[in-house]
Amino acid sequence: MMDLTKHINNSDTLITAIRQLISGYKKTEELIDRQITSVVKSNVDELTDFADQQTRINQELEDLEMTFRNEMDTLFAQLAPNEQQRKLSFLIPHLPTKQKEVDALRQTLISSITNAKNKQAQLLNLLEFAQQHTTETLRAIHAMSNNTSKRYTVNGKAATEHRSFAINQTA
Amino acid sequence: MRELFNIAKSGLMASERQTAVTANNIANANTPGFSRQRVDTSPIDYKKNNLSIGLGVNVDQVTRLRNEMIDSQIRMKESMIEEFGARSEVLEQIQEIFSTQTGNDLDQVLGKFLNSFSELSSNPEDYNRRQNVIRETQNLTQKFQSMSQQLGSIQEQTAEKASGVVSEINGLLSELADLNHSIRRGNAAGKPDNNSLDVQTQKLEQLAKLVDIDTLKDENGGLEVRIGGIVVIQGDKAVNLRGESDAANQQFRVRLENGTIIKPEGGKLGANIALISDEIPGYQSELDAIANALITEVNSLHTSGFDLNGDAGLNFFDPDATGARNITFNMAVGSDPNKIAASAAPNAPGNTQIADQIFGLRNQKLSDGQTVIEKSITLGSKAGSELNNARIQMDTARSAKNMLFNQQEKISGVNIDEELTDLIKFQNSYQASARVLNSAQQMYDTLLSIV
Repeated sequence: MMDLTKHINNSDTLITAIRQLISGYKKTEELIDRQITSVVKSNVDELTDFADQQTRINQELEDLEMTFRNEMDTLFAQLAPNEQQRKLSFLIPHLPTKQKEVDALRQTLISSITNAKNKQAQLLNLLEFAQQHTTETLRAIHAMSNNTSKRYTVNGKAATEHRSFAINQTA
Repeated sequence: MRELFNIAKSGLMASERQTAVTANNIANANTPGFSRQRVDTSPIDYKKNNLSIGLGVNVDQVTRLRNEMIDSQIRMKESMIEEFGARSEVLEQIQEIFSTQTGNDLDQVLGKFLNSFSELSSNPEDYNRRQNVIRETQNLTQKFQSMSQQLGSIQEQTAEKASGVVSEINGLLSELADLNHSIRRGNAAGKPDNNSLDVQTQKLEQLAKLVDIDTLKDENGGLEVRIGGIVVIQGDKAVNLRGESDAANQQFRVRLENGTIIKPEGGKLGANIALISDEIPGYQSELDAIANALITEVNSLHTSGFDLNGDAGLNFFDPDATGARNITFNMAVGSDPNKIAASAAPNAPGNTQIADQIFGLRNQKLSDGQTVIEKSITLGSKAGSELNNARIQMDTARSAKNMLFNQQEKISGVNIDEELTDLIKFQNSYQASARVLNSAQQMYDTLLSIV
């Protein structure tokens, strides 16, 4: 009876750790969405601020992951000491009363991590493009203001006018 | 007095022109592709005794404010959005073939087929268990055939879509060639046709959605357009493209009137061509490989065994089948349950060695190190992961396009030094954000591996 109560208490701690991870990854997903919007709006101050928030949230997630691992280790030691692979899916069948609840939370956690991972890939691709675009714009401005560079038409004749590039023109 | 009157008149005319341009800007604020225009004025003066005497202003020209570099990047992104959109649409259909969510996925049907031999082993003379093997085999061959047919019909539908896209491209090429005519005429007369230039921008965006294009401006302002490196618009002449579907070789070709083949790589058309020629056949051939491996392995075991009548085992599947499309259960076995060769010795009905070995295919690694079931799971998840990837790429391209649109909107009246400082600030900020994200990239996979 004592042991069962102990297991239930430990399962509850594990459930809390999973719930915190889910909430952490949802926050990450929202933050990444905001970062995408600030890149789209070219709002550099906002983006810098979000990068700071992202650093903090990454640290929080690392701590939460550590707590989750510790909770799993405790339960494995009590319920399945011979299990070689320390995976939540292997632990679930050994949880006496919380199988359904933990399994549902596991699915939610997987989907939260996957969504955040996909969003992160999208943001990284966008940042890569933004950097490339900025480099090209800098290069174009340099070429425009560089008197020694010449432009040629498709026929190979020297062009008398610059390619149309309206940035910095006075309206 | 006369000079004073002329100064006032030129000022009024310039102001009237500016008002008209502003009104035009406001009226077209929501017109897609419209660029703001501005009136360029210059002072009129003449020199007398080394003194410059002002005579008012001249309206030199109405300039169209547009950054063509951003335009070309927007077109590139439009092309990518459509390309990944078209891919996602088809990959979604392919994924539905592989993941049914009704417990009828290929790996599950394969599992049931192999399990039926294990059940047969427990009582090899039982008629119902033999009937069960027949039933599961029929389910399996039907599954292979239906998946292959569905892939084939997706390929046909994609070819039809590609033909439709080619027609749309032809329409746009012809409109762009007409626009070239009026733009070049305007430029030659010293009065740029800004409205046609806006329509040109809009049409180019529409064209870029359909196919990846390269553009070059000639010295008269006309636009030369290339697809796959081949000129399709020059001056006011556009070529007509022809789409050819070659079902036998699983190809879709685009030709010019003179027979030259062009190879689009992007946009809707590029995506459709890649799907028809490479991606769908890729899935088809992996599905065939699974079916062929199964035909070879099961036939080899079954022909080495003996049926319930003591006769040598027949081919279990038709050995002439070339893949999933025509995998067939040998009807001689299918119509007589006693013909299932479960035994390794003649007249030994209790021997289940062959049935066990066929069931053992469940765990037997093939030449590529995977079992048939693992191969079918890998194939199913490949469709899902490619779909996911296409969606990420599409979302990224969409965000990048929005970013470029915002930048296009901001153009005009910016100090060059401020602009350079901002760009450097942007660059630093982008790099810092990317560094933060990269540092956490492993975190996702590590956590996924333990849940």
